[in-house]
Amino acid sequence: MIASTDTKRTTTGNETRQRRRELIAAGLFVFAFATVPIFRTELFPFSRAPMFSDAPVLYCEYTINDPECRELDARAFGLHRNYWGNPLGVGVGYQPVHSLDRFGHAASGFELIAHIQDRLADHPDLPYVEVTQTVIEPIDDLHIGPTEWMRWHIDNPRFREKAR
Amino acid sequence: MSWSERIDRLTERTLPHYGVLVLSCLLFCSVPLAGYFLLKWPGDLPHGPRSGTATILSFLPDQVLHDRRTQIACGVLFFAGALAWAAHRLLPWSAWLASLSFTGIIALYAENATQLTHVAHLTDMLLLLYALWYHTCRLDIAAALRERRFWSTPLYPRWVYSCSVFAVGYFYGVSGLMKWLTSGPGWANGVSMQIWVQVFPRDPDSFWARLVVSDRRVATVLQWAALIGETSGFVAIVSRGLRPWIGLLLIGFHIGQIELFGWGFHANMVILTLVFLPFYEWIPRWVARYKAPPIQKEAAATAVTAR
Repeated sequence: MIASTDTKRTTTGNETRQRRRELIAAGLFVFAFATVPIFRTELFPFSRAPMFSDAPVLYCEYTINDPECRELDARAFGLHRNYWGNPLGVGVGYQPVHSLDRFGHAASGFELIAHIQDRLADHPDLPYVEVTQTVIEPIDDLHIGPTEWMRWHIDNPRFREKAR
Repeated sequence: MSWSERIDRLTERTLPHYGVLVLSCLLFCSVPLAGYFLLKWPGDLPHGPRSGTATILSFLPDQVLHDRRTQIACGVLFFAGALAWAAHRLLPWSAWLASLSFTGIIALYAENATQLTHVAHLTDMLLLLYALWYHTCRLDIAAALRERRFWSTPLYPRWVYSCSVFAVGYFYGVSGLMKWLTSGPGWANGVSMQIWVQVFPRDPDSFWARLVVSDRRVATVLQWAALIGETSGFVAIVSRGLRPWIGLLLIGFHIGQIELFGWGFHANMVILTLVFLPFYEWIPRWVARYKAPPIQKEAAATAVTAR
């Protein structure tokens, strides 16, 4: 009789311990899943899932050409698009390569010229470049499309004839 | 029902059919996801300076994080672990091996990338949760497998299902909340949707892409549906009645995303189907009907119809 009671008590104790263990596991899972995103936007596998939480109302397209009208690599001049719907450089190991282009924002002519002249230091063979900026935004109540199209002729202050 | 009764209910167990179905789907979906993140190694692409802490693996030395062989090793371990887990071998270690190495594959991708994608977050979280199930119930599962009564033994605890509902609801809820906090109700302005479709189209000539780009009212309606669907993730955690409807809305949201942008949220759709639609209730009923003798089967069918 005593043995039987002891066995029963042991089984119940095991079950209770098992249940407690399971509930602790479930609690830890929920706690981590709920709290980590409060403190960090991204810490894979935890995430605040911030994709496309911005609401851009315009964007720009840039092209850059050399004096012979050949299209140059926009990335080499920091005019490429880094936008991917997520906050830049968050939840990833590296920041993207710097670009003047900020999605949802149109760089001013002053910003653009200063940026390109700075980048032209790496291209002493180019006497000048021509940059076009197209702004795409709402054109009426239903559509979006290009509203501004600007072209800049930007001289290279560090141009060296013999570098060509 | 009191809180202690609710908590007690979490440890109630049902036959493992639903749990194994979800696990099989998770493993099935995680294989192409793992393949994608292994093949799309971003470490050789141009990048800027190092960011701060990005993943739970950020504490590892850079030599380990940026060595592609580390990710390939995770890939090999994942495929071996997933096979063993699916075959119910080496439990619970195969479960941990598969889920942790899958975490490793995605985390190492992120550690070497400049852009993040969220297509594997939910799959990874649920794999970890299911590994937790196999770990905490390992003795009962092992005994049931040894005695060949796995399918007839209640082994699937309710807390695994409840945690899945929480994870899915919270993931979408937070994503919706972020949109409210970052941009407010103006997020669903239609313009941003038109811009995204123009910039990231799967096929710019598809009917839906042309429709969205040519009519802001359509874009606005779709954006509101997305915002309401995502934010309702919080509601789905607590409301059993609304959960399937929110699930359907979110599945529709992903179908739209895939059609317009081609983003690979297919695994999330499978998870939403299994967790938010009432499969947790349907599967035991189907199993009972299938297992019942013919007369009982008829009665069960009548009972189901009567409901």
